[in-house]
Amino acid sequence: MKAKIFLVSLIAVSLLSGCIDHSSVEENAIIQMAGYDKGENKRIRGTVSIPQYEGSGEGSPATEVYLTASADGVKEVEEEIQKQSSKPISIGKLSVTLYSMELAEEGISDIIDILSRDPRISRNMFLGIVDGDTKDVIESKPSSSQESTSSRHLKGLIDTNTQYNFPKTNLHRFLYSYYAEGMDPFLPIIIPKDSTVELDGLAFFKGGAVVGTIPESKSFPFRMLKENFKRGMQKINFEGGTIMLDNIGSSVNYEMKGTVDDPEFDIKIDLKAEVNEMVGINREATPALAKEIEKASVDFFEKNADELIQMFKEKEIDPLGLGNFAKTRKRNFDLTKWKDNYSDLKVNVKINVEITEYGIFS
Amino acid sequence: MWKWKRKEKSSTEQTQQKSKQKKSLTEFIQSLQNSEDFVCYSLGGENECTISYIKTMSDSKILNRSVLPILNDGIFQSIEEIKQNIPVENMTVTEDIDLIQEKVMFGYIMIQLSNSAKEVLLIPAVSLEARQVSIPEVEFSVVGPKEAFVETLNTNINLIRKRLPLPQLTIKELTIGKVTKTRVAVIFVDGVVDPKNVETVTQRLEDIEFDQLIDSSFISQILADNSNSPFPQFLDTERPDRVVSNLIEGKVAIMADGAPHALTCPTTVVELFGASDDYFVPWHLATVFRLIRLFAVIFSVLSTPLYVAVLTYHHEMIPGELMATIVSSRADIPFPPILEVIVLELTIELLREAGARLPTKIGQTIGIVGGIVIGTAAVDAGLTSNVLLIIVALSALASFTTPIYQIGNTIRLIRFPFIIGAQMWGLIGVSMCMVFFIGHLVKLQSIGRPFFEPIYPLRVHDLKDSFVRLPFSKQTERPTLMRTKDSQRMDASRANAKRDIDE
Repeated sequence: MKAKIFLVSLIAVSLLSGCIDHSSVEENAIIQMAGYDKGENKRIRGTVSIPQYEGSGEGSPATEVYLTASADGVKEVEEEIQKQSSKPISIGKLSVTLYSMELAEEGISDIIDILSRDPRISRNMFLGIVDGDTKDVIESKPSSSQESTSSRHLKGLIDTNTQYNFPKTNLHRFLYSYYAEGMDPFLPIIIPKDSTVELDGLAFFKGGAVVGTIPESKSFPFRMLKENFKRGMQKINFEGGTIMLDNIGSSVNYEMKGTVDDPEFDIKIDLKAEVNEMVGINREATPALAKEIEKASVDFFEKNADELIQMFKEKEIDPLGLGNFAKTRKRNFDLTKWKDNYSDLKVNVKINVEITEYGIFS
Repeated sequence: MWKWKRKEKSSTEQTQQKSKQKKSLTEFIQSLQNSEDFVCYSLGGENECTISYIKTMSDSKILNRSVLPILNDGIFQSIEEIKQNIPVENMTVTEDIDLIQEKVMFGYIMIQLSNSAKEVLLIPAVSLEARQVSIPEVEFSVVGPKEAFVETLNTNINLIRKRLPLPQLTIKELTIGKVTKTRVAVIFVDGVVDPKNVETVTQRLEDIEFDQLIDSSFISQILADNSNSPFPQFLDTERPDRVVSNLIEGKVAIMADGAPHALTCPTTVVELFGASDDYFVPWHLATVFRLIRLFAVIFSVLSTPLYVAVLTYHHEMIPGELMATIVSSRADIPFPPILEVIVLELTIELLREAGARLPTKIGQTIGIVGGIVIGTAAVDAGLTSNVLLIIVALSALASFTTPIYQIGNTIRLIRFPFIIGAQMWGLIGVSMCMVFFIGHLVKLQSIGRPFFEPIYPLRVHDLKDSFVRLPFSKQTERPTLMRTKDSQRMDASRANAKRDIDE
């Protein structure tokens, strides 16, 4: 009897719930990149790129289709775009989402909220701020030597560069620092340049709005303060010429001293680097010179780090997550108090640069 | 409504009663005389007697050389006297008609001194046509013994006994099958085996109510704890070496006359994926091969269901680099993934079935022709995507890695519920099927012992010879599963002693 009831309910469940509409992967319009601009009358203009796969052909998509629609909200953009598409839209493979600087400066909290709710969206998705129109970036045909579609190009661009000078970024990290107490998110800035696009710095958020930016040249010092990394290059001026420091291992360590009300931070950075190029310096490479370069680099990085921290204090943002660090280590942490005292926070940056190699001479 | 059923029941009862009535010897001979190969003649001369035998079952050499000369030369008063003079072993004098019938049907020569006498002499002159012991074909191994069981029970027991010269090796024989009267042997090592296991097996064997017992697989189906399970609950092997090593571990083996396979029990699901090859190569290699086999089984069951689930419901799970390949190969296909998969899986099953039924030489050709021609043609015609073709072919190949044929069949079958689950509920459906099967495996028993053993119930000790095979020196104890009376295989300290210098 029990078995019969089980069987009947199994059949019922399977027959009744098996009726949901589903379509195979090739019958969907798979959005791989989306961009949001400020449209007319406070509306949002969304642009998406949908790769078109050729049947029975080679593996890579030959073309992309770009659809643009204006609406009041992000979900409405999706709906408007659906009206233009012959296939049902699938956003599960979204790999890059871009926001225009104009939009981001006004605040994108609403959009971020949607991103954090949708379970289909990958947490590995890249976000980026476009200095200009996202539509232009999305619709820019990449040059023939690079990837076949602009979504793959942008994904590869951010993916590769976050292994070098740019700090790691993806939706998960963004949302973490967005929702964490005492931490503010940042995103890479992308600008259209000639026929292609380029990473051009970092944009810092306060809440959901961009409040400050740093140029690409300062992203190495920022990354050094933010996380450990093993690659990347930094140009340093030295005695009228320039030196390329090739990072082979940078590690950062935060230490908190004092009380919750009067904290003091020590940021210790150990950087190991190689010097492979010296331009305009007519000196023989000797250990003594290496010592001098080390000293010059320490000065350079300390100056930059202090400037960055000063900027963060002025803008009242905390991309390094010092507040979060304090919160996780001290009880009685009070966020409002912390914010009030933030501009007077003592942060000592101690940098140690070690040049392990300066090449082989003959 | 159930009248027909009742009627049938009463009629069977009547026939049973009839058969219980003892036939007389003359009736038996009369019924045999309908067959052309039954020989029955009276021997004249001094000793007037009747010799009857089935000429297709009896060896005429024994009759001609050992029986007839004696009967012709001497003068005998009684049947006992004949028995003493004929130089053939194991003769019996009896008047039990059941015994007479059984023996004569097996090829014994029956001698009646005079037609009226009730006592007869039965002379064994059985001539059995049997296949030579040959190399194992189902469980082939590259190294190791190359003997396989044949259809004769005596030869099979010989193959076991010569590897296990122990007086404790006990063989109990039963006759099962109302019509076929098949000899079934229960083999175990006394003192090692748990007597409860032997009891369970013998009791279940005695309870078998069936007319024909053609093969040992009949026994494995009838004896199974859960006969509705797709999983074989007895390990079916054709290798005497495997049976012997199982016996030493404390298992019970069942062999039937006429079956070239032995069944060993209790068995576990893990054991069904172990090959005897695993013991012939160094332990690390064996471990890796076993893990590969395990992966192959999981791949074989889950690859096509996952294909269906991902392509139908979870597009975001396709890696970006594969997206283009999969989508462009799917673009021309008119069917949804589920139909595509079922068509291709059925094609593979057809090929396999055709290959198994055809003679070896044609079978191979069918495999190649089917694989290459049908596969390429199906892709060219746009009926299936080439990605799926690769997946299906690989999963078919992976299912062949199972060393035991019976579990291979199970693997072949159980992917279909998974495919249906994947179509209906995506990954949730696949997980539901998985839960269902694992639940079933956890509940399953092999002669009352847990079938999913080293994992559930977790017995860490038995894991030493499951997914991994540790070296022989680490396997100093018999598996816990067998509840053996003598758990120690060898002296652990001596087995693991370091011998730095060869003295």
